[in-house]
Amino acid sequence: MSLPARQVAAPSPRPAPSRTPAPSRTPAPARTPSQRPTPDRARRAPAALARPRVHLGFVALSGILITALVVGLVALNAVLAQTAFHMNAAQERLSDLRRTNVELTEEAARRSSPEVVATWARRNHMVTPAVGEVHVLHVPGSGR
Amino acid sequence: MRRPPVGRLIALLAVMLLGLTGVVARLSMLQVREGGAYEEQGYSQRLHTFTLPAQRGSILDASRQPLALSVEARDVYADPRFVTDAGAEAARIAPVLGMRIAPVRRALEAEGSFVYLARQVDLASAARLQAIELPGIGFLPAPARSYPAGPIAAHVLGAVNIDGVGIGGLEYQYESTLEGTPGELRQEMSPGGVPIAQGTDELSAPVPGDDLVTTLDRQFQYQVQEACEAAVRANHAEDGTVIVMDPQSGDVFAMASCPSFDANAYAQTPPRDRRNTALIDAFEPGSVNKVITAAAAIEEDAVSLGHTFQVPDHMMVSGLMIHDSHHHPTEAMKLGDIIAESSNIGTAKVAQQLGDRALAAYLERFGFGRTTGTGFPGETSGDVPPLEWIDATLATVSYGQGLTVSPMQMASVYATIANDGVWVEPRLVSGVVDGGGTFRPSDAPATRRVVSADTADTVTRMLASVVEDGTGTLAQIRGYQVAGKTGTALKVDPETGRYGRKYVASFIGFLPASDPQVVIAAIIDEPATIYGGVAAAPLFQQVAQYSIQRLGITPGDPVTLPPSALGLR
Repeated sequence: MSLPARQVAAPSPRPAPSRTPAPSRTPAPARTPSQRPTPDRARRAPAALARPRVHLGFVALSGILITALVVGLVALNAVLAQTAFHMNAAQERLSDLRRTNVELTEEAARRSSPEVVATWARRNHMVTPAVGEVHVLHVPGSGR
Repeated sequence: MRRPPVGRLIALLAVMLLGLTGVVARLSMLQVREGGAYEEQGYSQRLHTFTLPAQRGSILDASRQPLALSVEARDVYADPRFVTDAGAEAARIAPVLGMRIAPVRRALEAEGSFVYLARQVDLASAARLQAIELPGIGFLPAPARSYPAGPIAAHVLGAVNIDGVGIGGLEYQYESTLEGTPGELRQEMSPGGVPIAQGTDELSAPVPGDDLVTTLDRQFQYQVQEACEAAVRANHAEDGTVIVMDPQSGDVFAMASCPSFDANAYAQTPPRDRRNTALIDAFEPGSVNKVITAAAAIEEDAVSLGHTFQVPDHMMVSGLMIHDSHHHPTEAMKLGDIIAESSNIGTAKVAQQLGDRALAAYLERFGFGRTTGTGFPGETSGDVPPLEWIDATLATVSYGQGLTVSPMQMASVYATIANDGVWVEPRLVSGVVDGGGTFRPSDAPATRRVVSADTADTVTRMLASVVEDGTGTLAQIRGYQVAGKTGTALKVDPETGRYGRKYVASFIGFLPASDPQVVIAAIIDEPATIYGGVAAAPLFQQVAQYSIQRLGITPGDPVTLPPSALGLR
């Protein structure tokens, strides 16, 4: 794996092969001539110092990225599972409520049935008036 | 040292190569040439389709109270392969399901992998059984039909079968409206019945059926049924029929056939007792039919209200002796008297002036010989004798013998008179409520003019005189002018095919006479007291009282009665 070309910007004392990993993001020493390494140091540096630094950064970055990805995926999965669970629970509750609604509607219809009401009324010593004993009072404009 | 058996090794290699080539060739055929077919076969084995039943629509009364609705229940089944101890399991299952042990045990010992133990078990019982956790016992969701009002309108509602399909009454007639559209679940499953995670999982949700809104009034229907039952008991009759309808809209407020039965016990009720007699039964109407003869005669100017007939109590027509219901000397009667006194001879004389073709035409225009248009399953069209009629047929048909109609057809005749001569198609359903709760009204009922408003008004005056001082005085209601007609019809003995000694008593009318708001037909089959004015008029009166209270009917102005030659007025 190679880093993007724009990050391989720092000059190197000797031309590195194109596949060589890019140097780190530390400011390029070439801008301050006083700190420029001696030819010996410069010759040793890529082999002894630069390579381990590049690998560590890459590994660290990759590790962070992978960890973040894994954590993200796990979290997303957990959220999805939890949402699915909530949806399932909500659907079950909706189904239960619908069933309860039908049961209560049926119960209400049964209890309010004229026959049930009449039976209850008779049990409580209520009587239906004989035909002709009911006098209907009409308010003008209220009838059919 | 022996030389290796090169020849045999080469032969063995060749055989092995041949075998391998065969295997490769066969594999190629299976994987490449026939691969698609096997893949398809495997997929079809894994794919399971489940039908999801739709919630059946409810049947509601006019005020949207449920008369029939579907509640959730469970079918209980057994897989006998997994039943370990049939006797012990049956002993535990039977009490919960309210069954005897023996049939449950037989089911558990049956061959095969599926057998129903009970269907449409209520949820509480199913839950109790499920809690026992017996091996080999399973449960399936199954809606059950409930009729919370019990016997109210049971004859009209009908019923559904064990699979929830309408088999009678409105349940059958409106099956396509009520049933809804079943859904479907297509799932790819492992051989163990577990859904495969990435496999096919397609759900097509069921669409519930529409609710049916009837024109019936639950409370009113109960009162009418109670009154009908009481009248049948009081008259020691076979059965009774009452129809209450709005003459303007054709809406039926109540339709009772008594004795009634509990709609939840439809299967246990004998078929004879489940008949909606208001629409299914045909009867000879008797004198209530005279209203058609009178209306036709007036409309055709065959007879005027002032014309006087000499009416004996019997008359020979085409070799048939016809007579009035009681002996009387020959009397001078006007048309109003003939209707008020319900004279058969007088009506036959009116019919002779009218002619058979004209009378037959009016019978047809009033709706005889065809169904009323309710669409109710099994509705009778009645039977009118085909032309040409002999004089005896003309005479008997004029006063309602020798032809048959349904009570609904007869009620429609009076509704036509009450509605200024316009016939309106009666209806039991006012519309449907769809899944979104939107009410969609039924099509406007068909109408047709049968007689002029003037003729209807004249006939109404005659019908008012029937109740005022004719044969229907027991239908009077204090403060209201009632218009109606009594009927006492001989029944044909089905064994001999001739008239026997049994009668149908009826009273059909409306109120108030000047502005009719309700039409009521009260019919008693085989009462001990045969006369319609005695057996059926009190039932009419009682139902009319309920109508006044329930519908808030005001008295209205009185109509003037027709002239009389009998000194009735």
